[in-house]
Amino acid sequence: MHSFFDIVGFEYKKMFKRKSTMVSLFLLVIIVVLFNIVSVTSTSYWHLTGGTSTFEAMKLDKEVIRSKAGVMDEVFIKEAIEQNTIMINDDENYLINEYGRHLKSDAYIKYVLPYKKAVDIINNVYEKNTGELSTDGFQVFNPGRVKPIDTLTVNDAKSFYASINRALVVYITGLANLSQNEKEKHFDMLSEVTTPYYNDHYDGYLYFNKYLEVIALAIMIAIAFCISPVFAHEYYLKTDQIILSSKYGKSKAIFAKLFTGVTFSVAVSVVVLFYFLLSMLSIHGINGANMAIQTINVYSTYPLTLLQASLIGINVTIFITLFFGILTMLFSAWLKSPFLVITASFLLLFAPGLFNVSPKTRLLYQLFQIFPAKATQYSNIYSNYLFEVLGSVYTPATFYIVFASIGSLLTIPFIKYTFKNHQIG
Amino acid sequence: MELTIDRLTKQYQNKIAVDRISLTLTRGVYGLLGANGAGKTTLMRMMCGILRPTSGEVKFNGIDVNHEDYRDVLGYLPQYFGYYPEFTAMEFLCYMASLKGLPKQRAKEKSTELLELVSLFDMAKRKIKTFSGGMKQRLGIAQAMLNNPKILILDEPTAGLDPKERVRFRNLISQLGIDRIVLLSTHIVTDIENIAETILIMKDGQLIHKGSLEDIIKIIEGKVFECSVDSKTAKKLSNLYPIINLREGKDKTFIRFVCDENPCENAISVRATLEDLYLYYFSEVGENA
Repeated sequence: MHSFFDIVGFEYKKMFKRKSTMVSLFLLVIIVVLFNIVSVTSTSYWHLTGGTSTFEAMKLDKEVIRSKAGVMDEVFIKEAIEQNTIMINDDENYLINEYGRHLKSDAYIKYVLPYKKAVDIINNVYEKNTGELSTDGFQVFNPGRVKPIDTLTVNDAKSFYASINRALVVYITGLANLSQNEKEKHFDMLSEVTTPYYNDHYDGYLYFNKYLEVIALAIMIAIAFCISPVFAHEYYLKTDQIILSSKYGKSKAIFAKLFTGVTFSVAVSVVVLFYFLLSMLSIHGINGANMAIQTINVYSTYPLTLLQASLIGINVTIFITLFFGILTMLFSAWLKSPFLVITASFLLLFAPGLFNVSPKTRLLYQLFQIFPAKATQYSNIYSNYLFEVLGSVYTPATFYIVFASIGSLLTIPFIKYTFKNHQIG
Repeated sequence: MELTIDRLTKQYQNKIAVDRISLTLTRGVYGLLGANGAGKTTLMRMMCGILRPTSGEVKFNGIDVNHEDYRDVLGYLPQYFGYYPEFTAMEFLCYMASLKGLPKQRAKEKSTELLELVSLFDMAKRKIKTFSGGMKQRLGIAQAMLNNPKILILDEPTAGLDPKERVRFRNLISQLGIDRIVLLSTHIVTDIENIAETILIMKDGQLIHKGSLEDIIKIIEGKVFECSVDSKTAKKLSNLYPIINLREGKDKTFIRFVCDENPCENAISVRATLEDLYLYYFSEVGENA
C-alpha cells in the first residue's frame, strides 16, 4: 500500500510541476473572486444614491430587510398588504409627471423593501397576466405597473399559503410535457413544503445559486486542463514505455493515476464550491439559510430551505465534476494527444449548449440535461422536469448523483484497459 | 536463469517486423546487431511486454512476459527514452523506483548509488530538462538498473554518449552480465565487439546469425581484402562488392571490401572484424561508388 501512495505522490508532483495546472488553478481563483465582486457591483441597491458606496448601499438594504426577519405568517402578510396600501394611496410617495406615477426610492425602502420577499410572492401568485410571471428562474420586480398586491386587502392574508398552493397545483397540472407520475411526485413534494415560510435577507444564498453554474463550468475547465495530461502526457513524453515495462506499470501505476485524477477533481470542487459559498455568505451575510426555496422561485415544489438547496447544488456539482474528470481521463488514455483530450473535453462541456432542445421531445431534452454544463445549472437541478426510470420518478439532483456515480464506476475499467493495453510501436 | 523466446512473430498489415524468432538466453551479454528496420526494437519491445506479439511467447524461468513477476526482474532502456522535464534526476529515479516496487528509503539509497555509478550524483537536484543528451542517456541507464534486474534490455544505450562515457558504460555492462541476462542493441559495432559474449544478427525480421565473435567472424574469414588501386578500378570494385572502407589518396584509392575470392592482383587478404561482417550483410553493393 505504501508504494501505491508513493506513486500517487509522484503523480501529484507531475501535475503540480506543469505550468498549465498552476495557470488553470490561478485563473479559477480569479474567476471566483471576480464573481464575488460581480455579485455586489451588478446589483442595483435602493440605498445607492450619490454619496453612498455600493457596499454601503448593500448593507443598508440588508438592514431594512433584516428588520423584518422572522416567520412569514398571516400577521406579516397583513402588514405587507397594509404598508403597500398606505404607500399607493399617498401621492407623496410618487413622482408624478406626464409619463405616469413613479415610485420614489424612499417610499419603496419604507413600505416595500422590508416585506420584499412576500410582495414578490404575492405579485407572482396573484398575477393574472401570465406573461408577467417568472416561471423557472429568478423573478424580476417590475415597478412601473399596477401590481397584484395593489388589489389585495388585509383579509387576503389569511389565504396567502392556500393561494400559493392553488397556484402551484394549477401550474403543475398545466405543464403539458409532464407525465402523470411526475405530477404526482410534484404534489408529493409540495405537500412536504414547510409553511409558513421564513423571511430574511438571503442574497448570499441567492447569488451562490445564481452563479453556481458559472463556477461549476470554471471548475470543469480547470480540471480538464489539469487532468488531461494524466495519461496523454506519458504517450507524448514517451515515458509510457518505461512505465508499462515496470513492475507496477500495468496495475498500481494506473490506479494511482486514477486515484490522483479523482481526488484532485473532488478536492478542487469541494474547496472551490465551499469557498464560493462561504465568500458569498461573508459578503452578503449568512442569513437566509432556513428560508424556503420558494422565496427564490415560488413555482418550485421542492421542500427545501436555501441552505439545503445550496448543499444539494454543491453535491450535484461535485459528482458531475468527478464524472467529468473521469471522462477526461478516459479521453486522456484513449486519444493520447493532450490537445485532442482538451478538445474532446471542451466539446463535452460546450457542444450541448449549441442546441436548444424543447421539453416536448422529453428523451432528447433530458439527454441534453445530463451533460456536465447543463446538470450543474440551478434551473436544471430544481427543474420541474423530473427523471422517470422504470416507473419511478426521481428529482434531477438524485438522478444526476446516481448517474454520475454509476457512470464513473463503469468508465474506470475502460481507462485501465486502454492504458494497460496500449501498444508501443 | 533462462529467457526463452519461442517462435516470436510480429506482423503489421503489409510487413513482418519479426519473423518466428526462437532463442534461449542465459547469463551473459548479448549484442543485437541489425540495420534500421531489421526488427531489433520490435523484438525488444515484445520482450518487455509493451508490444503484443502476433504469435509466439516470451518467458523467463517459466514466467510469461505479461506477468507482473516478469516485469519485476526486467530493466529496460528504450531507444527513445522519455523523461519528465520538470523532475530532478533524483525525483525521476525515486518515481521509477516506486513503480518498480522499491520502498521509499531503499529507493533513495539505490537512486543515490546509481547516480554515482553513472556520474550524475552532482546533478541529482538539477531538472532533467537542463541535461545534455548524454546525461539523459546515463539517467536512462540508471533507471533501468534500479530494481537490480535479472533481464536488462538496452535499446541503443550508447547513443549520445561521448567516447569516454562509452568506455565506462561498456565496462559497466560487462560487469552486469556476470549474474544476469543483458541484451543490447547498437549501431556502434565496436561496443558489441568489446562486451558481447554472444552476438545476434537480425535482418528483415529474422535472426540470421547467433554466436560468439569468433564464430560469427568465421563466416567472412579470408573474404576481406584491402588494396590500393586507381580510381577507375576502385569504382568498378565498389559496384561489385560490399565496400567497408574507401579512402582517396593522391594517386591511388585505398579500398577495403568483402569478396569470396581475390578479385585483383594487388589485393591482400586481411583479418576480418565484426564491422566487416556488419557491412557485408547490411551495405548495398554500389552505394559507395
